[in-house]
Amino acid sequence: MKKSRNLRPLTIGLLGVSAFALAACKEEATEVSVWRADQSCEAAAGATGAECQKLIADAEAQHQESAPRYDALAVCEEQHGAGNCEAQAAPGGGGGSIFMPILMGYMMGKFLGGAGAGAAAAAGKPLYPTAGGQMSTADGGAKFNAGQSRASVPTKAFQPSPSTVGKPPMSAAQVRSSGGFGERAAPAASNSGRSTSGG
Amino acid sequence: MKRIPTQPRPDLKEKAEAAGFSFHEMHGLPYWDETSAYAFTLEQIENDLEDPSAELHDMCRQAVEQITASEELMARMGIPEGFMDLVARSWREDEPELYGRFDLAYDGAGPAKMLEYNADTPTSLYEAAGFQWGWLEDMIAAGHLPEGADQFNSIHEALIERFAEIVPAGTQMHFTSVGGNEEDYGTVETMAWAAKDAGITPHYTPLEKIGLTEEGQFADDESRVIGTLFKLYPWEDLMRESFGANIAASGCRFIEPAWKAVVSNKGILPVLWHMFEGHPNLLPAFFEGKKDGDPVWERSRELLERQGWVEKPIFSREGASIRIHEGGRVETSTHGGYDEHAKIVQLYQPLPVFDGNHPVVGAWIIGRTCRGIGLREDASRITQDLSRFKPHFIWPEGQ
Repeated sequence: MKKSRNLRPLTIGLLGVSAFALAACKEEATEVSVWRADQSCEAAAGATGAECQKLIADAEAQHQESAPRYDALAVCEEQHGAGNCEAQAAPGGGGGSIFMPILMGYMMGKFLGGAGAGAAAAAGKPLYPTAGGQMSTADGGAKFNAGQSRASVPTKAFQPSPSTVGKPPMSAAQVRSSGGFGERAAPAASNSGRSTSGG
Repeated sequence: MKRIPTQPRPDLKEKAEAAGFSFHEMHGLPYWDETSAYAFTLEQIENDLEDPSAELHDMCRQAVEQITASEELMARMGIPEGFMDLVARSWREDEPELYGRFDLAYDGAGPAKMLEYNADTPTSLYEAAGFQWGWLEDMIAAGHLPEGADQFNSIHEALIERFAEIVPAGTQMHFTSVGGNEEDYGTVETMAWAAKDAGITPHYTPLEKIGLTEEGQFADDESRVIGTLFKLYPWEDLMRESFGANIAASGCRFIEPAWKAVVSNKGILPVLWHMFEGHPNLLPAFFEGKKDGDPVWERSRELLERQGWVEKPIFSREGASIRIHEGGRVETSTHGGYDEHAKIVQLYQPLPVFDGNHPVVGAWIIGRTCRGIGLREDASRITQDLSRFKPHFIWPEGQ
């Protein structure tokens, strides 16, 4: 016999009865304001002068602690664009220099559950130029196009970046294989490891 | 084999929509056409289609053994040099095949002739496996077909069995097709239903959204690593896109395996004819170009010149870029952008004519056996993307 047995009706392309597993829960995201260092924090973040002072001081401290650091200007500029890097004296003196990208802008997010119940706690992050003319967080986990002032980013983009002060500068080879600043990543809020799309 | 007028179901449109079969009409014309159906005897199905198709699949496997051992042959078949290892390794390591569809010229008498083998990305799976079966049940229930009428169609059950053999239950498996293409999605989801019934957890991701992780693995549109991937996208294209360079190191298991690139390739037709010259289900075929001195060619030459021949690019889909040479005249199908590829020539085998229509039998291979058929017919001699899908049934024995 050729007959199919126990065949239940097959459906295709119907919402609600798909063969495919449901998409995973979306990663927790938060809305952020983004602005360049030469723009007004008060206007961009909708914050008071005092709040802005604290945000910027936080970001400056993080910049000193965890900005990407390189052992050669060329490597730094390859990642962050020509003219976007500056030298910093190597710790402990000596002739060598360490290069780091300029602090180009800020990102601010609001989180519920800060000091008081239901209050919003603001947190700031430094942003760095990319070779492609975007701004990104130190680890490249969130990227923003020029002129972008609002975005949704994974909440984990606010986790502290690993300290780079006093560590051996990254060699060119390590940078090339890191991929975090890759120009092939999708703009804005690209999360985790994806960097290119197939065709 | 007969073409029999049948009563279309009055609620066909509702049934198609309720099933999600949104492409039952395409370009404003019916694609699923049940105003008539093809009727077969059990002997025709078993002796002329089922057994020969399984044998043809086995012959193709023997041809792959020969092709993957020869870089010269792989080059002729358009396998880029950088992918020859991948193709040969997938064969050597016995990566299992899932499915394919032979296109056969068959008129109810005499041996079916293999026109080609869509062994990599065959579509029309939902129509053949699902909607066609629903039609038979409805026709019997309405009294339009006798109680004992049957259909050669255990495609869905066979897919479940095959998945259970080749993918461990509990596997998180990805399925991909070109985003926004409803017809391709239909084929992919039909496949996913079978996978699910085999205990696999299927996930869909559009082809364009596949990414690469820092470790060089592929990831889906939610950045989850892809371990096993069913791709409704031809190997010859995967190999020619810049993203293809990531395949070898990705550690991703592809279904169909890479060796299907030399099966779903018209270049296998001359290889088969040289290995199995005179086989009743094969048509003489040759690579275009210099053939003088090839004794196999010399034995077929006169027949091709008398009966005509068909020129086919080694890669082409939906009957595109095909030329029929017959009695000094040339008939060309629509251009499909495949002209830059190498070509083969095959003896012209006219399709049978039923009420002015030219049917092609699609014989579905699941694993290594033939488990069902679906027919498409076209008013033109070349079956193209506007052809209609026709249901079939098997007469009850003794009628």
